[in-house]
Amino acid sequence: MKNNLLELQNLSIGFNKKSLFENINAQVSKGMIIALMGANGAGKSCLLKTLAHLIAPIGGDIKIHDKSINVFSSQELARFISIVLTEKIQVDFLKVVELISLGRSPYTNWLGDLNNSDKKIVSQVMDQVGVFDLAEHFYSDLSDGQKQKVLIARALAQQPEILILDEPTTYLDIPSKVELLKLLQKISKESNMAIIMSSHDLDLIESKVDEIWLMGKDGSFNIGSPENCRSTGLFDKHFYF
Amino acid sequence: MIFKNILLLILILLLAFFLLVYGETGFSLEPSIIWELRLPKVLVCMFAGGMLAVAGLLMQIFFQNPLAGPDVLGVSAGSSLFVAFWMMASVGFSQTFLDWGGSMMSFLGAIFVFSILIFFVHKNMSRVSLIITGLLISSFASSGISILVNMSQALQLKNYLAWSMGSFRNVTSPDLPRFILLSVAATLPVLFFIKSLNQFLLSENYAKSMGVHIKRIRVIFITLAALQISVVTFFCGPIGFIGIISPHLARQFLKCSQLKILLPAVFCIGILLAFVAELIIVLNPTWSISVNAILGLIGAPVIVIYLYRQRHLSV
Repeated sequence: MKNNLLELQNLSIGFNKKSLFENINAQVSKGMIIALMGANGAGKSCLLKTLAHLIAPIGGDIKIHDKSINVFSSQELARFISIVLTEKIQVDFLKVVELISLGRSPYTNWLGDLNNSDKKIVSQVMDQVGVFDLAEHFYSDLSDGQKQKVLIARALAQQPEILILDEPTTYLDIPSKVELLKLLQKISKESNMAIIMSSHDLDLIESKVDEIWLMGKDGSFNIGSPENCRSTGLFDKHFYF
Repeated sequence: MIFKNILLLILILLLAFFLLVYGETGFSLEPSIIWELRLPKVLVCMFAGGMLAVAGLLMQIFFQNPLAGPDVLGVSAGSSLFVAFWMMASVGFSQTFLDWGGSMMSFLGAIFVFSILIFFVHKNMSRVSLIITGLLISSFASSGISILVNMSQALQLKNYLAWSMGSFRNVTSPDLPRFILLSVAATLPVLFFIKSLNQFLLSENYAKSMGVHIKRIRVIFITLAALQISVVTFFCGPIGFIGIISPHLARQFLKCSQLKILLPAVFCIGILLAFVAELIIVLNPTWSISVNAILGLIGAPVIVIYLYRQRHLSV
């Protein structure tokens, strides 16, 4: 039985043709929440950007529904995968609802006009993420936690099968971190969406994710459930000395 | 917000009408003056001002840098240097050859500077460093120009100095159709990329993740901006500040960043700035002020105010 959304086969990643991490093999199926962990500079961001097709892989292949990622157009990929990045968005006078509506752009016409079903989806995701009240606010006026939620809503508006988040909890205080993780759990359950996120908050995410991908300092790519990682001593090996 | 755009349009029409019936010599409805002198001037103001403003907007979105603009990043200066070189080097050729060659050189100069800037951006140069690099490109080009001026003979020098002051009055009515044709060709295509520009507002990576074909769109944006800047530079000389401040004034006025609404407003504000400069010149005929002097007096404080307001943000 093959129902893999995403499959990484001997994937090598890196920037500017220089390899950073090699031989990654993994599968992602529907509704899974995966935490990507590893030391700073291990290549977490690089892997996530490669999965979202923002960076080309150095070697190996990424398969989407058993077809190579290269056969898809960028618009088709945008409907399959969406991403929340770490980079800060500096834009004045852009309303939250306008920013989230941009998430519909892989589906809209050449002017980017939303039709009724697009508008319905935008209000649905605003509701789901809990930013409905902020719709008419300017994005630049929001707090970090609110901004993160808005960016997640924008990614959800793309109606992807896989949602990728690069360190979504980094700039948040502890209550907001917990809230955000619960939100991601809810989204994955409600929409049966696979979620891959990088994080350093081991203690917080442990109870909320199905699988941990660990990019080791020794170049090994380890996969396991949180309990498994604990019991086999993987965490100890890679996070404590 | 549509209402505010209409307001801008009305202002433009009023000023255009005034500049048609009033000139340095006072009110006059003499057809030959209106058709031969004032109409070309008004049309050049409209296209040149609007185009510079749109070029500034394209550059600010493309470089993700609120301080980007045709003059600040050295594109105008690069374009000028190439034109100056052409003017000095191409003595004795026919006028048509001079004109088309000059337009071409102007465009190549702009593209050349853009290529340098994009190279640095790809090497992860910070936004502030990029601005400084642009200013350095500008002063490099100015040095080049002044050396060319020193080497050249009196006749070319006169041509060149008149052009290098920057003015909306250099285009004579026989040249007007060509100017308008090139302007429309440089500006109209931007309308087809409103959606991509909106997606670019967030960042290049986000635009790509939403299905924008980055390599293609990059070439298109840069070609259009270079075309706009080079048309203005070739016909009017280097004109400063309109490109960098129009997008800020438009956003501030509309409180909106949606390109569908912002783009027309930016174009209109560019026109208004050109008109205001021309109006001040017309109202003070004895002083013979240059367009760039007036734009500098308006533009520099606007940028400082913008920077002051954004002081808590890292650029």
